[in-house]
Amino acid sequence: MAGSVTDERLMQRLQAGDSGAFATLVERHRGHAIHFCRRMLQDPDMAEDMAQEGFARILLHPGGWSGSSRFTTYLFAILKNLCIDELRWRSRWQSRDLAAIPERPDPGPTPEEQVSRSLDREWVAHAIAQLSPDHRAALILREYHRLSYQEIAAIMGWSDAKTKITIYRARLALGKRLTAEGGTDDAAR
Amino acid sequence: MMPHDENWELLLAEYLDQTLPAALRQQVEAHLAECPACREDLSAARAALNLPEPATLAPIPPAAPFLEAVVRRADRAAVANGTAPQLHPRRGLVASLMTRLAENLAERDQAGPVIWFLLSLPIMGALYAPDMRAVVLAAGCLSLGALIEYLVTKEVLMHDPR
Repeated sequence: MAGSVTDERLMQRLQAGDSGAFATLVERHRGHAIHFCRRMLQDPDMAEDMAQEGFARILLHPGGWSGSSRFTTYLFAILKNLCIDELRWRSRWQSRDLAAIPERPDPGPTPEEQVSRSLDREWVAHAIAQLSPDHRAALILREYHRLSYQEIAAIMGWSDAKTKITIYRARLALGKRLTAEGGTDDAAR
Repeated sequence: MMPHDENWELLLAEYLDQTLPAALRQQVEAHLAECPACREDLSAARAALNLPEPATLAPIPPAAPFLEAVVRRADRAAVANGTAPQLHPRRGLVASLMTRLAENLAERDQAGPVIWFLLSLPIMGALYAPDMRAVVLAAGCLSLGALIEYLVTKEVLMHDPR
């Protein structure tokens, strides 16, 4: 983006009533927004719905961005809250579909083969889905979006230390689930 | 023996990220050499580094339709909240009045019967007042305009089930 307008400048323009600035922000960040929601919710249609809702809230209330944080921090914070609310709503009102649990891949005879086979995409998705919403969000932001601990802390509303510890715990729970032999689905909760 | 508290977890997290200073790294490694449980935990946490994408990500939708969907969603919320919608071009006076009429009628669930009544005026005028063709024509245009505005604004007025 060398030479282009920064996201923060675009937000200032949006706050001043420049609709073109919002369109540019959407064009730049809709991919990241949708990918984050897909990884959180593992539901492509709902993920796009959430991403639209996140941007709509920014459009409706541009004054909600104070200018003290980066625009991506603000956007991910909104999306994180939307996705976590959706996950909590699901856990409260939807029964688990046991038929949706993917078949555990054959662990293999050696530790290396166990790890390799455990990294089957569907199994990774299922293991991530077993994490608590906060752990899931923090891990996804670190692992897939490559955000710094400081950025993730700002998004989650945590201290840097709590962010590092939480992501470590999420990795620990995820790793145990991926590599354990015969572990139950609730073992890492 | 180091206590297994939050400070220890922070050290392990930074050890995993390879960001610990040398002195602390040596302390952690000295403890790991003596603690099988911590070695096992670290091994498990290390297995969750550099994960593959959990699912094949479908292509991202094009920007224009996505933006339109965002604006429609914001407009619906703005109408529901009674605030002014944004990102629309200025409307003319007649279009604004017709839109306001269509919205008010839709809110009262009366748009359908009213529109059909207005559409029936030209037909009734032609049958019962053949000398009032100008009035009939005006009524017909007005009805058609109301119908078009209702169809155009209908999506804005759709209730968002969530």
